[in-house]
Amino acid sequence: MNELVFDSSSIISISQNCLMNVLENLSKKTESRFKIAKSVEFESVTKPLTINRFELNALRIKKAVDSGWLELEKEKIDLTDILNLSNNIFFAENKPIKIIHEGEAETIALCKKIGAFAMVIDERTTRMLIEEPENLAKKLRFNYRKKIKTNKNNLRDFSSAVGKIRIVRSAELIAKAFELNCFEGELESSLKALEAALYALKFNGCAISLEEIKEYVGALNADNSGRKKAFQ
Amino acid sequence: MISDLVESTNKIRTAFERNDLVKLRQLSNNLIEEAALKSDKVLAQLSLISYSLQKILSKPHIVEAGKWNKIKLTIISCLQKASMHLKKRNFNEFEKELDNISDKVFEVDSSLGNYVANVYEKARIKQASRAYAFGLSLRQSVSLTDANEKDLLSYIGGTKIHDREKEFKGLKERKKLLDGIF
Repeated sequence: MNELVFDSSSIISISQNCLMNVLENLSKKTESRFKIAKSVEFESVTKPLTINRFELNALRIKKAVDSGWLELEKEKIDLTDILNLSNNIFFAENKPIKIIHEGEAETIALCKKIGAFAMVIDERTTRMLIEEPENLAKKLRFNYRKKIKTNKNNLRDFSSAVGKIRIVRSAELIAKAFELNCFEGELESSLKALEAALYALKFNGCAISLEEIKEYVGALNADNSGRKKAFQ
Repeated sequence: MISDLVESTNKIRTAFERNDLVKLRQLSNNLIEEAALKSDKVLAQLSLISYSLQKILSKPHIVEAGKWNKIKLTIISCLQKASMHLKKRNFNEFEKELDNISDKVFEVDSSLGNYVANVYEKARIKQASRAYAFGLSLRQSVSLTDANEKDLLSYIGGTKIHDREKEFKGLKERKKLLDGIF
C-alpha cells in the first residue's frame, strides 16, 4: 500500500478550503494511506482547538483522524540527525542559520521511517532545502545581502539522510483527485471546479504560482476542446 | 550583542517618542531579518513591538483618545527600563519589560481598537511572512514569532511571495510523480 505523509501546511490548506472530502475520496479510491506526524497533529488540531477562531478547521482535520483515513503516527520518531544536519548547512558570519523547525524535520523523518511514496508539503523552504539547496543558498545571499557559506559535508550528509523523497503539494493531489473523479460529493467534476480549487489552495498559502495554474488549466482546456473537435 | 540590543531598544523608544512611523517600520524590518538569521526570539519580539507601535501610532481613533498620552508614557518608561536592565545584564528583567510592552499593546488595542484581531497578532503574521520570504521554513517562522500557522498561510497566499520565484518543478511535472502510485 502506498503511503503519503502530510506536513501541517498542506493539511491546513486542504481543510481550510473544504477539500477534506475530496482527499478522503482519493485515499479510498487509490487505496493509499495518508499519514501525519505528532507535531503536525498538534499544530493543526490540538492547538487550534483551544482558539475559537481556528476551531472549525481543526475539527475537520480531527474528523479525518478519528475516521481513520488520515492516520496519526503514534510512535516517537528520531529526528536528531535530520534536524542537526538541516540546520547546520548554511552559515552567516560563521553562525548556522536555523532553516527548518522540528515540525518539518519530523515530517521528513516520518517519510524516511515508513519509506513513504511521497511527502505532501505546501511551504517552499523545506522543499527547496531538499530539492534545490543551491538555489536556497542563492536566495539567502540575495535577501540578506551577506556572504552565506554552505557546509558541503553537512549538505551531502543531509541529502543522503533524506534520500530521494518525492515531494508534491496539495495542488498536485487535488489535480490528481480531479483526474480520478474524486470531486464527487463535494464539487462538480468540471475544469472550472478544478481551477477554483487550485486558486483557493494558492490563496490559502500553497506555494504555487498563478502562472503554473493558468498553464495547467489552460492545457487541460485545450486538450478538451481538441477532443470535442475530433468528435465533430 | 548586548550593545546592539540596547541600541535597538533605544532607537525604538526615540522613534516612538517622535511619532516616527517610517523609522519604527524600518527598525521592525531590520530586526526581524536579524532575528531570522540568528534564530533569536528576543530580536523577533523587539521587531513585533516596533511594528505594533508604528501601527498604533497610525490609528487616529487610538492616538486621539483621552487616555492615549498616559499609555504612551507608560510604554516609553517600559522601553527605558528595558534598556537599563540590559545595560546591567539583567536579561530576565529585560524580557519581562518587553512582555509588559507587548501586554500594553494588546490592552490598548483591545480597549481602543476596532478589530477583533489584535495589532500585535497582525504584527506576528506580517513579520513571520517576512522571515519566510527571506528563506526560513514556515514552521520556523511561526516559531520565531508565535504567529498562527493557518493565519500565516492565508496571509502568504495573498502576497506575491510564491509568484516571484520560478518553481523547480511545475504542477504538471509534480503531478506526474503521483501517476506512479495512483
